[in-house]
Amino acid sequence: MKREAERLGLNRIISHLTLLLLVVSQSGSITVRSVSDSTHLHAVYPSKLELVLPHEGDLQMSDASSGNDAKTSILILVRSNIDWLLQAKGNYGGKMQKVTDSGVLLKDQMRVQYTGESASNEVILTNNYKNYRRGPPGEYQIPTDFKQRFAWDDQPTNYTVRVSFKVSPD
Amino acid sequence: MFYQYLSESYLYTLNDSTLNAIARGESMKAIELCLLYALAAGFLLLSAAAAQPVSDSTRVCASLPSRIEISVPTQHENLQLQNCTPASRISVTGSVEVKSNLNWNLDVAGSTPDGRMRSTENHELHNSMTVSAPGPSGGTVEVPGIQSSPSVVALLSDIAPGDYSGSNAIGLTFGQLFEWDDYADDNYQLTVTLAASPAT
Repeated sequence: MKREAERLGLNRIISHLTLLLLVVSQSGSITVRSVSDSTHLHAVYPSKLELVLPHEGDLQMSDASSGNDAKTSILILVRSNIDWLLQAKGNYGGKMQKVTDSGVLLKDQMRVQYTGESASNEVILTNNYKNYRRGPPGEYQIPTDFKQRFAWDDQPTNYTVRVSFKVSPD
Repeated sequence: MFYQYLSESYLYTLNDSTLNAIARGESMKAIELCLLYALAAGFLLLSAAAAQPVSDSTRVCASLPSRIEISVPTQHENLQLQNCTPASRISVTGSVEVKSNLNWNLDVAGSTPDGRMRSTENHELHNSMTVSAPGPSGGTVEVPGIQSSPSVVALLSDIAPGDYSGSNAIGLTFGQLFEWDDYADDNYQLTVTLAASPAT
């Protein structure tokens, strides 16, 4: 009986010690430390170029006359988020061609000219792209005149030419 | 290398019996992961690449109408025959400017009934005035009168645009023969009309 009582007492002591250890253990985790973390945000903003020409139909020079210059105007729109270069060229060496006969060309080449603020010099059109305007990123409206000299020895008839523009990174 | 690392780290925790089957599955995952990375890298490279040039074009049309112009330079509107003496041919130089984008003719007409110089006192020379034009197309014609038939003669015919290019002014020589039987008079006159017209 005595041994039994001692064993029960020992068990009680062990039980109290276990509880004490548990309490001590729990108390160690009561303090909450602040935690932090972070993330990086990435974005790719690709370079982009846009060129818009009015396409209501063919442009008509209504004041063609021998010995004189005739002109017609359009508004070219350039959008770019990088430095850009606008170039121009014309078919048939930049010369207007008789509509019904591919062999007949005007004597003089067509010219294009920027007519906005601080108007630029005229650019004579050829088969190859020639620099016309350049600028920093942004959205630009480029008022442009097409000019054509009609010589006296140009045949009176209907003429046409295709003018192409190209905008590229500068 | 990435694939190998993944495979090994997973394989350490597995036993031999399931090793091969699971390894095959993990390998597939690793390959898929690699492909995803490759696709993402490609996309980023494409996005960051320089913008491609863009171009557009427009058609410009024009109708050039036929047109013809003629003018006598101011300094040649009034010409004076100098040093006129009997039995001599006196000439004076004038000019006319013709601009045309068609083939053209140049016609001449006189202002008197017979195309001869006439004075205010109604004296009339016996010989007609002549007009000459230079060049291979040129020639010499007698100035007709308003009662002549025809009353207009062609000095130049079927001249192409640009034949006289470089110098729009065409030199003309007006010649007059004075004879002994022409009355002496201070005021012989003749108006010569030059007309340019499209060649038919």
